This record gives sequence, C-alpha cells and structure tokens, in this order.
Amino acid sequence: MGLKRSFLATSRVPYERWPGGPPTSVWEAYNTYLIKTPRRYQEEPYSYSQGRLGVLWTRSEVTPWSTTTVNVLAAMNIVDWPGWAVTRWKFDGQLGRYLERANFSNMGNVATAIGRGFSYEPSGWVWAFGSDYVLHDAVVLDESTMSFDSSLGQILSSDFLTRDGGAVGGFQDMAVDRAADRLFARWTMNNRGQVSIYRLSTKTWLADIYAPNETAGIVLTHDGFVYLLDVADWILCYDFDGSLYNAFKNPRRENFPGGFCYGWDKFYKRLLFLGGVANATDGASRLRIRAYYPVPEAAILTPPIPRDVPRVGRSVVFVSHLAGEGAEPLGGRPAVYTGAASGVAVSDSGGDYELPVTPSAAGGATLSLSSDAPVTVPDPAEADEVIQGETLIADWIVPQNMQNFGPGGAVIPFTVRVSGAVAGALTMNVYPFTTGGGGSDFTGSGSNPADLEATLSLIPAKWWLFATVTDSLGHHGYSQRIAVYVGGASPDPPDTDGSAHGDFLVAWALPVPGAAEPAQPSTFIAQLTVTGAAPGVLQLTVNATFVNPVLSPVFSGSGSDPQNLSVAGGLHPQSWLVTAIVHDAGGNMGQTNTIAISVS
Amino acid sequence: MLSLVAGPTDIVPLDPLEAAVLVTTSPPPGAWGSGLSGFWEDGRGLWFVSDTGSTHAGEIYLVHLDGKAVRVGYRMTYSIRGLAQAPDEGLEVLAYDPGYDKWFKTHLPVMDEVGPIHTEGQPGDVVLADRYLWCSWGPGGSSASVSSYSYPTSHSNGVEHTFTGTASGSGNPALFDAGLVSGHRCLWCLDKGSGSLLHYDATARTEGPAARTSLGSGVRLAGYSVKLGLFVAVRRDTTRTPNVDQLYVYANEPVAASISAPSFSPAPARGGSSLLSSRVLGTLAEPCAGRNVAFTVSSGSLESSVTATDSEGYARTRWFGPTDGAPQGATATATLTE
Repeated sequence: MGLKRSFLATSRVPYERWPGGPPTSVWEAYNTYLIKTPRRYQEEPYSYSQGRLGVLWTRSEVTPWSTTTVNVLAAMNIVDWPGWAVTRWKFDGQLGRYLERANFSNMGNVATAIGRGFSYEPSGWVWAFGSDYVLHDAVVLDESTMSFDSSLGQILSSDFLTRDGGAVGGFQDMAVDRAADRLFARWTMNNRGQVSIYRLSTKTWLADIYAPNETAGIVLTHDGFVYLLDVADWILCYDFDGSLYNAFKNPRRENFPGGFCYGWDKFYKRLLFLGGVANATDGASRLRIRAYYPVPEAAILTPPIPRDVPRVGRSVVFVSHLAGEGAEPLGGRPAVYTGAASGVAVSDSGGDYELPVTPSAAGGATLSLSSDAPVTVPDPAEADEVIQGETLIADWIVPQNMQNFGPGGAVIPFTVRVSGAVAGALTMNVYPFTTGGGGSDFTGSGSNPADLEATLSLIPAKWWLFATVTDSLGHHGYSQRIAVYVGGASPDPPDTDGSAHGDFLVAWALPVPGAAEPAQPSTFIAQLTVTGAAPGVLQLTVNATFVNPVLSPVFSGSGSDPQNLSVAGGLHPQSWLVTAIVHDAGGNMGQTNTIAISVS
Repeated sequence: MLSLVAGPTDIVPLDPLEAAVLVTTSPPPGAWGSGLSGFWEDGRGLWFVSDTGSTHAGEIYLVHLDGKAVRVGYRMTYSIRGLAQAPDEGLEVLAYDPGYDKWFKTHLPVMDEVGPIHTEGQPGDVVLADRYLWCSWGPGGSSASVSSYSYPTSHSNGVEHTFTGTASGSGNPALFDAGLVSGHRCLWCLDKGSGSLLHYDATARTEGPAARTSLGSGVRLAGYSVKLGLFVAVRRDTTRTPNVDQLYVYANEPVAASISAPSFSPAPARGGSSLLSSRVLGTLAEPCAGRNVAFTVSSGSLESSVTATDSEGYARTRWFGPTDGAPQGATATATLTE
C-alpha cells in the first residue's frame, strides 16, 4: 500500500507573533533572547525537543469556504514563563486556510499536558494521557473552555489488567471510542509495539496487536477501523476486534524533526498528517497539514519461476508474485509478459500471475513480466514559497561586542542587513541604551532590503544597541542586541608604529587568587593580562554590578605592564558581577569576560 | 531428489535500512526443539524468525520467491522460538514461547492464545489443522514420527505414525501442510539434515501416497506451497563473510536418475504383439512422471516410438513382431529424451 496525497493545506500552522508590531520600549527588548524572531517567546512545538507533536481531527463547522474544519492541538514550547502552552489551530476543511487559534488559559492544566499525548475520540472528544509516575490516566479536554475536565470523561489505568493479569502501569499510547465500547492502549508494561484492546464497559481484555516498532499513535475512524502508526512509518489497519486488514509502510516517510501525528478526516475519509519540519531560516513555522488516501502500491514483483521443469514441447506454468511493501498480495493487476511466451495476465487474489509457456527448443530463454501496478506517485510540487514578511531578519554588519568606535560625539555608522522583507520601503529604528533608559535615537528608511544604514552620535560609554525593522506590509524583525564601546574624548590617534595592534585588546582573567570570597571590607585587586595593546600606558577600569548587565565603574587604575595590570578597590558584601575594561595609549579598548564574585 | 527450478537467490531485506537478515533454525540452548523456524503461506511468502546477526534479530520476516524479505512483526513480549502453520483456522501463524510454555495462534501482528497446549517433549514442528495440533518427532537418529493433540482440549492422541526405515538427522523433522488430497489432510515431514521428505496422510494416519523424496542436504528452513506445488528451501552460504542465506525453489518433480532396461510382455514372437515398457526413477526410486522415453527395436515395429511416463514412471508402447523372415526375437532400447 501507499499513500496518495489528496489535501495540502493552503496555510501553514502559524506561530504566534507579537501583537501590534514590535515593542517600542527598550525594556521590552531588554532580554533580546526572548524575541530572537517575531515569534512571540520563540514559540515552537514542544515535540521539537521531546514528546508527541499533537493530534488532528475534523469538525462540522461552516467556514467562508466549506462546511468542515481541520483542527490541530499541540503542546508548544515557549521561552516565556512557564515555558509551555497548549494551542489549538483551526483550518478550513476544504482549502486548508488558516482560521484561528486559541490557547489554553488554565495554566495549571496546561502543565499536566506537557509530556503527554493527545488522542481523538470519533465521537468528538480530545483526550490527553500521560505515563509518568503521577499521571497514569486519560482525561477529556473540554474544547469550549480549553481545559481538562475529568467530569467529562476519565479512564483510570488502574482499572485494567494486562493480558496476563498484571498491572498495566500508565498510558504510553491510547485511543478510545466510548460509543463502540473499546479502549486501545499501549501500557508502560506492554512491549513498545504492543497495543491491548479492551471492552471498555467491562474492562475485559480482548486481544493484543503488534506493530513492528514502537507505536506513534492510534487513530480511530468513525466507521470502526483502527490505524496503528509506529515510529518507522508502518501503518497497520485493524477492525475494533483486532483483526488485521492491511499493513503497509508509508513510502513517503522521512525524518520529521519534530515527530509526526496522524488523524482521521471523517468527512472525506482520509488520513490527516502533520509532520514536524524545521523552522524557516527566519524562524517562521513550516508546518503544514496534509491528507492521504491509502492506495494499493507495488513494491515486489518476483521473477517468473516455473512450477514444473521446462522441457521442449511441454506446457509449463511460470508463476510470479506481486506484493506491496507490507508483503500484502496485490490482486487484479494486469501484466504483460514477453519473451519465451507473450500475453497478458492478471494477478489472482493471492497476487500471483500464471504465465503458460511451451518451450519450442532446448536451451535458455527469457521471460519478462511487466505489471501495471501503481507505484508511489510523487506529491505535486509543493510551492514552498519564501515565507517573507513573517519574520524579518536584521543582522548587524558591524562586529559584535568589544568594538571601540572612537571618541564620543563622532558620527558612528551602523549597517543592518535585512532579509525576508517584501519589496518596498523599509524603516529601521535603532535603540541605544546604557542604563536601561533609551529610545529611538535614529529612524531611517530605505527600499533596499540588503542594507539599511544608520548613523549615531554617542557619548563615551558602553552602549547596548538593537534595531527593529518594518517592511511595507507591516512585518517586523529584530536584530540581536550588540555591545558598543565608545572611547574617550580625544580622537583615536592612528597607530604610529605601523603595527596591526590596537583594534581589539584581549583581556583575560579576573580575579587574582583569593578574590573569590574576599572579606568585607576588602581591597579587591583586579589583575589581568592584556594582549594586542600598543606600547605605552594602559588604563584599566573595573566595573561591578549586582544587576546584570548594567555595570558601574567602581575603581580604576593604570599601568604599563600588559602582563600584570592590576587595580584595587573595595566591594560591599554582595554577589558581584565584575568586568574590566582596558584602554591602551592608542585609544583602543578591550574587555574581559564577566565573572561572579561573592564578597562575604 | 526434487528438481531445482530457481535459485539460489540471496535473501536480502527489502528495506534498505536493514542491512542483514538471517534465518533462525537453531534456537538457543534450552529452547523448544530444533525446528519451528517457519513455513510458506500462499499469497504471502516464507515466514521465519530472524537470527542473531540480523539487523532486527528475533523478529518476524516474510521472504518472497525473489529473496526479498519484509519485516512484518515486532518482537513479541513472549520470546518466540519459531513459527508454525495453522492453515484452516483463519489464522496465519502459530508461535511458541518456551518461557511461558504456551502456544499462540496469531494473525500477525495480532496475537491471541491457542493454549496452553502441553506436549510430552519437544516436537520438531507443529501444524494446527482440522482441530488437531500435529507434531513431528525423531531427533538423534531415531525414526521420524507424527503425533497429535486435540485442539482445543489438549488431549494427547499419542504417536500416530512412525516412518519406518528413516533415521532423522540431528534435529526433529519439520512439518508443514501439504494440502488436501482426495479429502484427506496431508502433511510434509522434512528431515532438514538429510533433506528427506516424507508424505503423511493425517486423516488416514498413514504414510501418504506421495513417494519419499528429498530436497537435498543442508536445509535450514523449508516450506511448501499447496497452491503452486513448489517447495522452497533455505541454505546458508558460509563461504561468504558475513554468511548469507539463500533461497532455493524446487518443483514437485524428482530429478530422473535411472531408466530401466525395456522389457517385453509377453516375450517377443514373430507375428506377435508385446507390451514394451521401461521405468524412469529418481535417486530415491521416486517415479518420474511425464518424462519422454524413446524406444528403438532391432526388428518389428512400434505403435509409438516416443511415449511419456505415467504417474508410476512407466513408459509403455506396443511392439509388433515381424511377419517376414526376420530372425526370431528382438532387441529394444529405451532412451530418456529430455
């Protein structure tokens, strides 16, 4: 068997974006790791790190285009507290256009969903189940309130026994149809591919079914069939009593980085499919729902073999066998044979061809067979259009961090390269800040998405900069935050000795021995090694703070020995973050890493 | 010795991600018997359990006539030592688990329990048919035999038949369905060491009508297609590293090994008529049917110079004695033409 694609959603499963555009407050962008892209809190499916992707189902709902919807429910990973969410998306059932999304509001229940799987009941309920040491049971999700509600339905794993009468543990995989009085469960005490079938009302064990590999979902149809999926893309079809109807592999299998899930479209009788896809380079979601019809597909056509020894003048029947990838015989398939004999044959119900041959001469002969059996038809070319505009990428072209931009007040050019924007005007805002305040010191625009330039005039200090960009359709992007060091008041003199030193000073290693927990009051000695400095006096400034990352100068000193530059100062009892900044005689600057020091 | 019509063909996994598949015929020490390795199912192929060294050792495969092996079942909770056949139970497979001392009837990958059915010892193989569990016996050079248990009552019916004049090899014989012959359930009993193939009428509980023959030595696994009338056998090519199992396909037709001198009945006489016959046999004296034999005579004439052998391997034609002045008597020659 194979899968013939019959549906490709028009829209992708979108990540949530910042409402109303990018934040204009510097403080909102303060922890820029939270907004690396316009995905709010870097949202993406939880399965990209662990767990199942989610669950798919269809509903009868009127949309602008049809009367059904395709729904997706998935646990999401976000960097904002508490780090997870459960989201449901809704798409039109005919075209797959995105309609809406909703998040769980009951965060306590959301927590119980993480690490669990979801399963859809043909009668219209979504179940969540878990297998950890606390959550052994399955609970119904109330879609109207987006919360779990055991009063609507709950299945206690403790009510069931394995086929041998033992404890089952918890759910590793499950599906239930209360109308048909069936429960399908892979328990923690089962083997990885073993699913037990129970009569739900009496908790009676009926049968065990086995997938070749670890199960990856149990999908129930509305008309009494079970599709059992496993991690190696076997798809096994049973009835509700466990009788096998078909077994085949998904010939389109590939490595889905975020896992995959199947569902059943009861209106069009097709398997819904959602496979994890790596995010686009700009961080946008590339998840898209597909649907397939199972179709017979040939994988094996054995060479003709004589049932009797061929001899001259003797009519001998050659046999050939046609089977699918799951070894299922394919009957009713015509084939043309040529060579020692020629004609047309049709495979019987066992997938066998019988080809009569009467050799006319001694010696070898060739008998060729060509079956008219379908093979995997490639999916129609999927226009994986540039997901432009969803997220713009703004990259600083200047080196990040530890850059001396010379004297304060100078015009300092910055260039930001923007990608993913639609054609048209672009605007850019650059936000410099030093101590938490800030604002838009620059606003520029341009139509070249490759480079947007800005010039700033900054006083001598360590600055944090980040830029926001907006294209003509109102899509937004952010740059990473960078640190910029603006030097002293005097102009940066050119190096006179012709050496290449001075652009970056590399300063290493705080603190001196014994400074890990200096007593208070203490004289704190910062000592470091500097390389790359121009000859002459070195200026050292030590900044310390207990509120990262705003550093305040606490003491300073100077010296000319780049191997043993030290400065002393006092620190109050506190856990400090300490950074040293060095200047050489050429006005070049370097910075150490930041270290933590606890003063007792 | 039956006629090889295809093979040897390397058994290779269909899935390119599975690098190797080897056929199990020697269960680990303490396991159940030395057979139970698999069987042929029409429309599907040759079932077997993969051996140590396979990409998926201990799992269930189907191999087709071109040697393509498809992994169809995950390793069950129970440690399956082998697969056997239940042709008329609406099932595909019997599997035995020595750890739990149970037989399972399975329609893979669904599993359901037959048993437990307990047997007094370790049969080489079983077939579940006609509400009996048929078992084959005969290790250590003793004669091959068949016993049965009523299903599902587990009542032992004892040894039903012993194949006289046989001496099985190191292991118990394999047993697989031979289909219905004149309404009687028949089984093939195979000594995998020597390749001896014995036919058993399980309804009459006697040795079956088919002649004793052989698949040749070194068979690790074999099966019989009732539908196609073909035997399949697996041998291991140990000259290659790693070892590779190979599939052989045999027609249910022995290789001719001898043709008897033609005989006249009654003795030839001038002006008389005699039946001239010769017999074609295989190496184990199996009658070779359908073989063309050409007769020549020194005097007189023949009704037909070329005739085909019958089911007993006899080719017959009528000789007419000369009526002229030819010498008394005649010399006949029979030749197997192909």
